[in-house]
Amino acid sequence: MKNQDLYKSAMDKITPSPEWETDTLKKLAQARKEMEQQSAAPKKKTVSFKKRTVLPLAAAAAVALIAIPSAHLLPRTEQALDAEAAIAEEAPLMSAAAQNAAPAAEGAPSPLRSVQPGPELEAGESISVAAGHPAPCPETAVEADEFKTTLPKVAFYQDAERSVGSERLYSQLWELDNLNPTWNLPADQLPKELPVWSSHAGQERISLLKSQMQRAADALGLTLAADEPENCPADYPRPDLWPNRLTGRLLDAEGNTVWQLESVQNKLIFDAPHKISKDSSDSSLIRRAVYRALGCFGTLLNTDTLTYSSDANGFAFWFDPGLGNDPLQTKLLDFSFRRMEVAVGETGEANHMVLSLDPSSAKRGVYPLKPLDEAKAELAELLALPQAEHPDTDAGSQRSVSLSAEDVVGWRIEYFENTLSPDLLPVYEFLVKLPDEAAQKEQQQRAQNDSDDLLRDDIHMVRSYFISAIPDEYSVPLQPQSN
Amino acid sequence: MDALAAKILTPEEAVSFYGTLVLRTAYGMVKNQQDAEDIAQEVFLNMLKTDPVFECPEHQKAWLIRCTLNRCKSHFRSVWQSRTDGLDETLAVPFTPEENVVMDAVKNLPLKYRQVIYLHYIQGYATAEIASILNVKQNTVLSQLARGRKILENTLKGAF
Repeated sequence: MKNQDLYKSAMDKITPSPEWETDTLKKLAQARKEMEQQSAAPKKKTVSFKKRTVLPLAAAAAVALIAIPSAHLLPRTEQALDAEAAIAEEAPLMSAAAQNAAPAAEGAPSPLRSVQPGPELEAGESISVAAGHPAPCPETAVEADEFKTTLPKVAFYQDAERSVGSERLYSQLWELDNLNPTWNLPADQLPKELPVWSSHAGQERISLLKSQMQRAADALGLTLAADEPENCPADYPRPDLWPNRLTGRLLDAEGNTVWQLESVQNKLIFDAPHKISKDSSDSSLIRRAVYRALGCFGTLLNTDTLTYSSDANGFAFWFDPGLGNDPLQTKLLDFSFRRMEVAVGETGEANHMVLSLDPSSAKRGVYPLKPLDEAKAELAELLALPQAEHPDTDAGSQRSVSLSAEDVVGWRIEYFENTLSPDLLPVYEFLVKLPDEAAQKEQQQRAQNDSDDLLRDDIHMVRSYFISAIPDEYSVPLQPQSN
Repeated sequence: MDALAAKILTPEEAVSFYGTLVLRTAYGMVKNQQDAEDIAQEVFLNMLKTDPVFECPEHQKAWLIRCTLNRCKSHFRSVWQSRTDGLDETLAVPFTPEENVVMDAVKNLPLKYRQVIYLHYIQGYATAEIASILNVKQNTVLSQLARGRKILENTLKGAF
């Protein structure tokens, strides 16, 4: 028998089991029923995105959290099996959680929105078989113009210390873009304006942070044990913004800590207290459970258009309801605030997750953006500062190297999240390449910690520099405040 | 069944009529029956929820194949998938030893070759039709088919 005949005969043996068909039909019936219930339910008041309706922030958060149960089920294989099968049935729970949480977010301007059902096609794809065309991509539009009024001034740390971010190694330039939609775009293609949000403070902030944690607990069916906010340290530079975060734990029915939880402005940070078994069957279960959850995540929102980014240490996914065709501003907001990042361990287990939520605080307004050239000029000034004025001038420190604007290898617009900042605002992040010696030195340090790491000549190192994207006329210098 | 083949089906009808097609397509890509069943299920759920407009049965079939392939690509993007091996499913499907050898060879092909080999040899699509489904040029399909076949011939020490 020829090889291709063997291939055909083997594939002929792949048939769906009666159980699969029954289960699928059952889920279709359930989904159809839910859709009918949803269409019969009164619509919630939402912020208009022209032709789209708006999904409350909390709904997205609660739905996104369905990706999380997989890890808390890990130590209990039998429960994991049951829960895995049940994940697809959690939609009503998620919807209910989302609805419960919705009123808190309704009053806040939010760029979140749901989308019309669209085909499961990747960006730019179409099917032309038999002259057929898939259902059209959902029409994309940004929210109505609310700019041009008198805008309050916003604050951003402009000094050298606050403008220097982390450093990282890379081999190829594409490893740095992080799929940020503004990566290395020329000035004329960058957004011309973006929203800025203010931060909560004091009791208002405590309520917000606690409600975020409670929503996570509700979505996961766990109990929240929130810690009391700590007293503000005497030397804290912005006591008016205290507390800057709340911590707590999510407990299962037996009182075991499933996740350690931290609520910070518009982020929820989950840490797994126990590392996951390295047993391969467990890994397989985790993988399948998370995959199902991710699939559910997409279909629940009718987007089916999550975008993924992954590397050796984890992955991120975020909404891309316009299949890559949304306006840049919309794509950037989705990328920034409707995303989840998962750090994985050596065997693929999730041990750290960050859920970015839409800002639920008051929007300051939609601000015009500083031109890219101006931001580059500011960067050049920052890089030209004498070494003594740099924050870290220890001998031998990598911070002490001389850099210039010519060393910039890339830029992007990001939202700057700093607990010391009263505003959540867009910044230009410039990635500046350090001398090759710095990369070699970093590699040598890592090699000392891990003998498996080999020194490579093609590894480079960049450092981040942040320049406010808000023009000076809309900014005020940020001053520390005393207690 | 002939009557079903001639009309555009509801999701429930499609499960019965296209279930095998979708499951085989998924299996041909992800190489694991459990994952393939999960993916196939999600494809039909997605069909229900998005309610796409089909112009003819062939369009519906192509849409299902395309959605399945996209789902499989998403599946491969998952770090869990790429960093953990699936359970060995070869024991679950009663392949003969000869079939196992061929299936292993196909499974080890890169995805881009595997999908054109599958669409051509199992679904019987012509290269022009594959190009339409995958939204690539026909020449690309031809070269991928040739390269995939060459790899298989080298692996199997015989014509494919």
